[in-house]
Amino acid sequence: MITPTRAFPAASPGAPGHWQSAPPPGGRRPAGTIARGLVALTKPRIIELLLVTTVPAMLLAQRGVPPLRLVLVTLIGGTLAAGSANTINCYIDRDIDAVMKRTARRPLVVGGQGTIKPWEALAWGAVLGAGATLLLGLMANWLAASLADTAILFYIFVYTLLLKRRSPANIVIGGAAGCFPVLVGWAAVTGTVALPAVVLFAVIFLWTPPHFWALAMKFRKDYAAANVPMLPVVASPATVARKILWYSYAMVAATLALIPFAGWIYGVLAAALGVWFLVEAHGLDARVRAADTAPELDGAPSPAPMRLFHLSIAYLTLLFAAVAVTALLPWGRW
Amino acid sequence: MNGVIAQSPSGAWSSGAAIFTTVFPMLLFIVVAGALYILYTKPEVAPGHRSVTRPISYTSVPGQPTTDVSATPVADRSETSAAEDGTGAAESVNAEPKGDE
Repeated sequence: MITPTRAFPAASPGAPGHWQSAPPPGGRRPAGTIARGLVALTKPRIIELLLVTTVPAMLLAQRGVPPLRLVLVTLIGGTLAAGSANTINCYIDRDIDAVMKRTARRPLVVGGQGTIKPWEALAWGAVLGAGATLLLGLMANWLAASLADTAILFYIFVYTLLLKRRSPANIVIGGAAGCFPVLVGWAAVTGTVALPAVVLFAVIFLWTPPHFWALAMKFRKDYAAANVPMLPVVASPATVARKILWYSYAMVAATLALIPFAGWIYGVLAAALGVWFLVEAHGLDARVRAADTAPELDGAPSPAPMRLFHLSIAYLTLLFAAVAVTALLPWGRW
Repeated sequence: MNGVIAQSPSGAWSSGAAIFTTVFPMLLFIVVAGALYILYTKPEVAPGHRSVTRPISYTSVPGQPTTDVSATPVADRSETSAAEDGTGAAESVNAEPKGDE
């Protein structure tokens, strides 16, 4: 008899990701296990970053602190909406998640935890989406709810179903879904979508490709194994690094376009952060070219794309912190 | 339009709107989830998708068990997984048992 072998034995025996820890087919699953699986499907760490952009947008829209109740409603509604989109994405992509080491332990993946059934994930995603719509619509306004729904549907249909497996531009266009939280936050406060919100949208839109391509450079083999045509899979590292550089410059330019609305203090902070980001983007470009010229040499410098990935998270957090702080300051604006 | 709404008798319009307000988001997501359920219950029949019940490194060749897979380094195994993609190992007699989906 052949003993089944784990496809991706990243987890140690007994750890949550160990396939043998999954309940037997038809077995009763502890409520805690199901709850943890459902939460994991929402990709909480991604939601965290989305919410980081929502509150500063609300502060800038209010030019001060909005009512606490509205902030809480928007954050909870945004969490539910993003959780819905991420959960349904896990349902659709569960076949390629099983192939990629990075995602092989997601709750829907056979060989991973396998704790959640596909139909349960789908129902969970629908409940979260409907909950987000109702909460935002009834307790903020229907524009905010509609924008949240647009983000969910865009992420599911445009990114996950239409682009992800077909186009190297998947993350460029599909990344727009992650830009909606700033519009939701702005709309929740003002009931409209104004130019500063669109600029913030553009900042995140241009930030997404460098952020995600740096990650995809690191996990290029994973994406190639899953036949997902991320740019680093279909283009050379030099091409990817060059495009990261272009998007980085465009992103920094977009951050500076907010200066007329956010003030000169924000401008100084955004410029300093922009220089920081560009230095690292140039560093990645230089490391890629160095690796290209001496690929066979032992000790040739690694491109280390994850440096830019981690820096990009810190960058976005600090940039939106600058937006928040300057929105609260009584001075520093024109 | 305002006139039409204003002339509506009693509170029937408000009730209808309230019901619709509550029902619409649910209907929206029920329709989306229903469509996705129908289309992707079996991903392998959807264009561009593959089977989810197949453990990638279960066998190296369809129908033939991998000998001593555990002796292979982890990294090598994952690369083997990629190479095996599309080999149809799901149909192998050694395929991992299906869950209770």
